[in-house]
Amino acid sequence: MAIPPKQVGTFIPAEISFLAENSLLTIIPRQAMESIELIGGTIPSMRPMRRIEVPIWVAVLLKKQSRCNIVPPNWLSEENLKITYDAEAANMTRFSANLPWEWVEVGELILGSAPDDLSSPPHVIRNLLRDIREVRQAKARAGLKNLNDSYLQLDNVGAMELNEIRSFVTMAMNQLRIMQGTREGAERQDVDVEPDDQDDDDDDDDLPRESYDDSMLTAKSYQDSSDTARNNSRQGSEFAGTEDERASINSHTFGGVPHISTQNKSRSALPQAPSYTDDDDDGENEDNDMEMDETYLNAVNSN
Amino acid sequence: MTDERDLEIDDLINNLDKEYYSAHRTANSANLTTHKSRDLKSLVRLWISERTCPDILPYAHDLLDTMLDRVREQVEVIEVNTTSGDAGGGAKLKLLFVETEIERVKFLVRGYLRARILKIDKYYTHILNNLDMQTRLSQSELRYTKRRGNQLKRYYDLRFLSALPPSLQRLDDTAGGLQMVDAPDLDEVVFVRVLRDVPGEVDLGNDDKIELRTGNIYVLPYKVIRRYVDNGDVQLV
Repeated sequence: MAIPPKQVGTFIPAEISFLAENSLLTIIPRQAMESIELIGGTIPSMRPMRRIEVPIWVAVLLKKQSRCNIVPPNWLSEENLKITYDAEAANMTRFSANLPWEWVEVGELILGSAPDDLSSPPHVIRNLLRDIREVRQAKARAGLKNLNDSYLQLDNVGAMELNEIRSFVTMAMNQLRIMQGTREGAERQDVDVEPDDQDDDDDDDDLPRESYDDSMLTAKSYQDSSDTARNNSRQGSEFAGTEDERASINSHTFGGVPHISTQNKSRSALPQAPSYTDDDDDGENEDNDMEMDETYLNAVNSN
Repeated sequence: MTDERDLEIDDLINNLDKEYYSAHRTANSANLTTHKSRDLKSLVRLWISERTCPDILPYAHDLLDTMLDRVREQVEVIEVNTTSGDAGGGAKLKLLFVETEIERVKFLVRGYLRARILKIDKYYTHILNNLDMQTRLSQSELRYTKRRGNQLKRYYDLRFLSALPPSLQRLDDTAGGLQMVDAPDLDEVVFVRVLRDVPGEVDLGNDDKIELRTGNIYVLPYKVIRRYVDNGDVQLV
């Protein structure tokens, strides 16, 4: 029996959490226990008050039975989370490296199972985590505007965050790649292959072919074309505006610069982001944004 | 009076013995423990890779055999402990951990096999036409694929193929430049995390070049990164 459809091409949040439960956590046992041989290692023998490291799932089980206290990792302290939040908010083009790979899951697990072991009130930590998550989601969303068919760099993105954008990014990039392939094939054979068959069900990312070509030929600077785009949309010419904006994204994209990149060549792109939603006339792009939001909300809710 | 003291001394000696023994055992088993945790990590990675990779990866015979053997051993541990009747509080707790972990490992193994079956179902004709693909399957997977191929062929024949002209009856036609046989698309993008620095740059084949530095996370076509996945420089996530 193959895996169910909802698990195809992605992981469900529970699975990401499951993976995080294998990482180690320091605990302070409250009572003695002999060591236990397991398949994936040994739980060391425990003496009260002597710190040991165990997988998180063991810590959670012990904690449920009040047999240990959990020592929250350093990054989860109120002070460090505040520093992280400031770092996140200060640089909108990069994800800070202050958080571990599994920070979302580990944070949730500890908040859920051992709120009393935190050094600060749980709601403070919870709010900080949520704030950080929102800042980072905003960055990820802004970065999605620069998807291309070549590659995307997402340094310091956490496991759960990555999984949330996985379906969308995979689908969009594969689609762009197919279109690029079709385009090249059409050029090679000088046969007009209709790319639209496959694009119909893909709403967000089917760049109209004309604009695609335009962007390749004219290679306008991003600033220029996005100005045009905004002018156009102010005139209420919705379609033209959309197309030009897409072309602008595209020309930018073909500069080969990923958005969320350590190379930071693409800073100029970010200040543009709000302008998409500021334009009231620009219906179609707002739609896109809303759809993106929905994707996020779904991911967050199913969390 | 003397009895009591003797008892105390006995207790002390026993405790010492126990401590010495457990310390000794820990030292001896340290090696085994690292092996074990490495194996479990490999299984986790295997599960993630199989789930995220567009291609069917080689079946991990050795690892799966080892893990399933260990699961059986642990099941025996549970049986011995429950039938021997000394289910004190400590023993119960111990069994709780053993059982929980067995379930966790079984979940991984099951997930791994089911992820493979998903791809096998999808690409069975391609597999049956391709020896390289077949070597990547386990015996039972290959049996399954063959049986599935035969059954579907028979079913299609019975239902509608026999009513079509012979020239349209083939299930692996390539006429008109269209492949009827689905094969894994190695151009599909995957998410990878770089585990160790790779010297130089990786050419993505379209004027784009990237550097692979420890900790980088990329989304890119499986085809261009496959080499580095295979040699362990990067991992699929």
